[in-house]
Amino acid sequence: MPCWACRPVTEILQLARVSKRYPTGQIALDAIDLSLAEGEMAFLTGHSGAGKSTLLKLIALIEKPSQGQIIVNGRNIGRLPAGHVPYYRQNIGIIFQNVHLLQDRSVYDNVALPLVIQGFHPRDVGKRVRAALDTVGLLDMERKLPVELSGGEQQRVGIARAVVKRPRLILADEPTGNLDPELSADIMRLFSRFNELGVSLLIATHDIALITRMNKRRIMLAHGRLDSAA
Amino acid sequence: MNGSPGLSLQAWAQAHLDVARDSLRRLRSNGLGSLLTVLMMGCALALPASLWVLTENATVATRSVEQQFSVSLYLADDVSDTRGRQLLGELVTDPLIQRGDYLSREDALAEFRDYSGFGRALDLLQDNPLPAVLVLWPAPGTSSAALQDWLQRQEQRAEISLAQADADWLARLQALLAFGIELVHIMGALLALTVVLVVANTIRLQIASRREEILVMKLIGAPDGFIQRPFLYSGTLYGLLSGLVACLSVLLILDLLQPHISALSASYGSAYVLRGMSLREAAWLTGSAAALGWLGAFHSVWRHLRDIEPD
Repeated sequence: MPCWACRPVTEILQLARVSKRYPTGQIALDAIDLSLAEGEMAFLTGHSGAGKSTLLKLIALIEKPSQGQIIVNGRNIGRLPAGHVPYYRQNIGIIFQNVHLLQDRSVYDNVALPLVIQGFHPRDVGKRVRAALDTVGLLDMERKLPVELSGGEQQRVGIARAVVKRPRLILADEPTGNLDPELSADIMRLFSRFNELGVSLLIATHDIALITRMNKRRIMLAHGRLDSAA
Repeated sequence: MNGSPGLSLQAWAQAHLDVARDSLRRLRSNGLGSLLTVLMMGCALALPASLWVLTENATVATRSVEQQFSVSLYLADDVSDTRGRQLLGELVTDPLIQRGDYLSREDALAEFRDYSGFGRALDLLQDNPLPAVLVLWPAPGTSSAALQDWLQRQEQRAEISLAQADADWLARLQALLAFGIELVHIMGALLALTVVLVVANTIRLQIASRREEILVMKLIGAPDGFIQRPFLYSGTLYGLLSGLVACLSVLLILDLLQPHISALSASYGSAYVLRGMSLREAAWLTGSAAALGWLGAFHSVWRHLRDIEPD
């Protein structure tokens, strides 16, 4: 049997003719071919309703494609049994527009959650959580509750939680959607730094002004199709 | 699961400890609601548990009554003393019979003279009208049906003119006891189901109120086992506490009943003290309650957690 795992993976993410049709008949994505190289940072843009969120949801296995293949890290995730989905998600960092923090837990506990889920030793948890909080500049806020933080700070907690496991792939859905331009630029700089460390990122955003200054690939979606003009 | 370097048994134990502590904290923070739930479950369990303790007491009491209870085999007039004693020797080897006495015709007359108060009148009789008797004590736990059957067989013997046991009242007592035990089983089953349903409903509400949290957990890759854990701990904790409430209630109920039992047994010339629950029985009750709590929580978790999926 060929050793697939031994094969050097140059593409961390590959979509082949991926479509998503909802039971209502609405076609959210139509035959998308897309790939993201290992260590690449790319922006997914398009108007709202263009299918950006749907695409990320398919990759995060929050939804299943109607057709086509999604290969992450050399593995066809369409064939993943339901029981393996949590372990798959543990290996990618997901950042949401609505940060989804646990409101009754401290910043520290929120960031620690992915490690606790994976059964890390408390000693290692502490080190990693502080490193992640340091990266996003919130080291002095670890005891606070999410409600005590500003929107930008909450988003950075969400980012710390996504990177605390040191994933090779990060998916972000409108991570700056609720932030003012300056905070948004901060977040993007943070993403660039992760990328410099070798992390692959796919970031959905409709904020064209923000990303034109960054010299990264842009993937344009329009009406569920790739817009080759971009 | 990928083998991350931080995984260890200690971390696993720590995680469970944290969840248990968190469940306790949530239970406490929900103060009155939790208290009412636990009391409701505890009372539900106290009813069959105290009935059970009472039937256990009744069983013990019945045993002691059975031990005083004897049957009489009246011998035919032509049976000699020697043959009578020989017959006793044979009958006491029967597994149904614990021990026996032989009362010769003379002994019977002497006993009758002592107890009846007809002493003088008896002297007027030329012959001793009383037969010799074998007084036999059945082995403890012998059912009255088996005993009746055995007596009928003995009556077939030529040497025995009459086999008599006033066993009707014993049969009634045993039937009543069997009824009581069955009642305990039925009520126990129904109220155990009640406990399971109460916990299931409580946990269902907990799941509903923590829906957001469960969604977040699923999004960041928490396996079902991890998400279930706090709810299962919570259900088990409810069960455990209600078991303790039930134990205390049983003690209280027995304490309330003791004066009445004392009065009743005094009227029969004995001083019966109610046997309470042993530590082992209390542990069994509490453990069963915890298991029922877990079962209720598991049912809810199984039914409702899979409905919460990110979309």
